[in-house]
Amino acid sequence: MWKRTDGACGRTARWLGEYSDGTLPLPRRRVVEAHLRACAACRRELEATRRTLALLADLPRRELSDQFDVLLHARLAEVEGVGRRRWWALFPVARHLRAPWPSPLQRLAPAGALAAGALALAVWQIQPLQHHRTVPSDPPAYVAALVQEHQLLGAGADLNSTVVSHNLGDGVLEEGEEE
Amino acid sequence: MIALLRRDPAGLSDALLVERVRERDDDRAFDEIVRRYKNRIFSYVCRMTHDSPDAEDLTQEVFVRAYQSIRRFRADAAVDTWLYRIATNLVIDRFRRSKRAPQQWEPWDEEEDALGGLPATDRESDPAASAQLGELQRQVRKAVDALPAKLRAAVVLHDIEGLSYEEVAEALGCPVGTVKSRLFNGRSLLRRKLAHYVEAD
Repeated sequence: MWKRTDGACGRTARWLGEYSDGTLPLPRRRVVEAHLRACAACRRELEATRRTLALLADLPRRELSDQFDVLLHARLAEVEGVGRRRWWALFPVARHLRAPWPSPLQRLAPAGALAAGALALAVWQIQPLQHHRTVPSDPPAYVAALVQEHQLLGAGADLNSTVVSHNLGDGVLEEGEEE
Repeated sequence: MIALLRRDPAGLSDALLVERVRERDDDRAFDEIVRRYKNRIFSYVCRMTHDSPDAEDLTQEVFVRAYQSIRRFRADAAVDTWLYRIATNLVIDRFRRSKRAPQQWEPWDEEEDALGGLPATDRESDPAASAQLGELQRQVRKAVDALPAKLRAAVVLHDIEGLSYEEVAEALGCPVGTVKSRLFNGRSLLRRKLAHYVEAD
């Protein structure tokens, strides 16, 4: 068994680990190497340290079972509730709706936005339509057109039939439309 | 662009995989992270729990926690170090629970007690049998298992899993100087427990 005989051996012992790892700074490495050249006990200690590290590196690993991935996926699906393929993956913008919000108020923000949208839609639906309406023909223009048509047909024609034929092509006028 | 989106996750860096999980909920990217690190995390958990039957369950829990907290993952951190950190926290949690419900797990907080009471080299071992590799590995594993948990974590992460001092410090949540100290103590204990195998004749 290696024994610490003096301060130099003790210091070397403290640095041997980093020296073996290759991480000891250069000035200290030179000190260790100078000491190792002179001290057989520390050289044996270095060799034992290296063998110990080699044994650790050679330790076999235990293998995971074949069921590991299946069981892990099942647990991940449990965590997500409805499976790992989530609906928001189809809509990249929607993922922001499920970000971890810091406050309950912010968590309710999407529901509030939906309610406001529904309210706005309802208000818009009950507004009367002002811009599109049926207007009666201007009476003087209507009469003038009727008389002109009757004259074209001839004085012997029946005035009633002229009125009927005129109404078939008339009646609903867009606002501002001219005859 | 479409080619990039469809790119096989196996060819992506860890940072890109994490970004894809965070930004696009890409399950294939997360599966790739699991594929890359599951064996290392399982190995670490086994060493820390004396090959407990719960080790596989605990490893699954590590990835479930990672999945749940991936949006809090710091972009400048390494994925493996982050996973080791989660595993370490879970192991500590089990250690602490084992105080209330005694199992085969030792408490996490006993670090220094074992340093004063090093067992003598195992004189009862059969030299002929110990010459065999299987027996040697059994002894090494036994020596590692006997280390106090904090020393064992440092030794396993650095000397078995190959993490740097800085990465071990990140994984264990302690300063680099503490890691070096724990490594020194852990290796000293191992070195003395395994003296029969590592000392030159």
